[in-house]
Amino acid sequence: MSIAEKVMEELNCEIAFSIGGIDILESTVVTWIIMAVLLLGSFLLTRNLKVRDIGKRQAAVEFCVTKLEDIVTDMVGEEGRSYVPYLITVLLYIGFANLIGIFGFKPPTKDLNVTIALAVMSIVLVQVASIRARGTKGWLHSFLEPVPVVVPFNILDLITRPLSLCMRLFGNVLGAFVIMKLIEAVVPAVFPMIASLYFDIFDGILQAYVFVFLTSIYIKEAIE
Amino acid sequence: MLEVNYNLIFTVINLLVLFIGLRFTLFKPVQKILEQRQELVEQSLADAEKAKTNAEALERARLEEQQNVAIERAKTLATAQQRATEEYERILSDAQEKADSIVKEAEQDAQQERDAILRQAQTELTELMLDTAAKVVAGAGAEGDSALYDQFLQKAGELDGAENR
Repeated sequence: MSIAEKVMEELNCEIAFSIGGIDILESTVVTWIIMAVLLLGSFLLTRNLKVRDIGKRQAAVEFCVTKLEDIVTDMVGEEGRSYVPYLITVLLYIGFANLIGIFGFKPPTKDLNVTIALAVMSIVLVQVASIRARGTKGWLHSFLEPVPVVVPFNILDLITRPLSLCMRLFGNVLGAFVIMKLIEAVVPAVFPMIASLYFDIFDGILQAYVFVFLTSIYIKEAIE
Repeated sequence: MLEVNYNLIFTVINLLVLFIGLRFTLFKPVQKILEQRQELVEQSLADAEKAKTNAEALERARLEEQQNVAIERAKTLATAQQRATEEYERILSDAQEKADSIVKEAEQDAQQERDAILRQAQTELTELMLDTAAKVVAGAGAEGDSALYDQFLQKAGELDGAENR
């Protein structure tokens, strides 16, 4: 098997299993694993929270949650506080999805279905935020801003924004994945570990941050 | 590789489930505990503030009390002094009065005594004159006259001495 064939095989998002003719892709199954880890983890971590005399576990949980909230609130603005939990969820999900390659799973974000879904949800959320902040009339009117001539471009934004979000994430993860597989195929020992630090961990977290950062900016813009 | 199918919908559902799940297992509990702690802190601060206010009120009351005591003491002292002064003056004036009355009585007594002496002197003088007159009438003669005259002078002198005393 040549390197190219090997890489192509790795790139394929395989069907994990089928239920009644519905093919469940590998990415969906890995997403379930991530969900299980996140939900079980947070359930176990937030048991017996106390107001006083907190333990190390609670201190760590509180620190992480407040830190994440602070970071996202800084991006989305104080008015967008109600969108913070969703944005943190996306941040955690993309972060875990990008990092899960370390454990030998295929990152779900390498599947276009996942990144499209994330991008579509983001743009829907932005439009909902706009409607909630300005009312339906204000939302429609926002397409005329700053001058009516730009209406086509504003409408185009509805497609280009999620497209760029989706493709950026997909491309980065796919690129990192391909490079990692190539490195593993060429130099199987030691070097992939070092490369993985950058491609999996750094780039993975960076892309999660960028995705949430852009979504936050769109929301902030929409509710101003 | 670039196939898009209904797994897109699964991802949407998965994300929504994850969002709702995290909301209940992570965000809400942490939020709740932070709010409770905030409340506790605010409660503690309010209690401390109240305690401080109370302490200040007590301190103020104590100072006021102290001031009142000082004023009361000064007032009592002033009253006592005034009363003492009054008493002193009363005693003094009583003593003065008494002294005056004693002097007056003494003067009266002296006056009375003098009057009595005078009266006696007058009576004696009258008697002497009567006596002299009777003697003049009864016996004539120069010797007799001269003796009579001496007697008169002597008696009068005695009277005069008594009067001057």
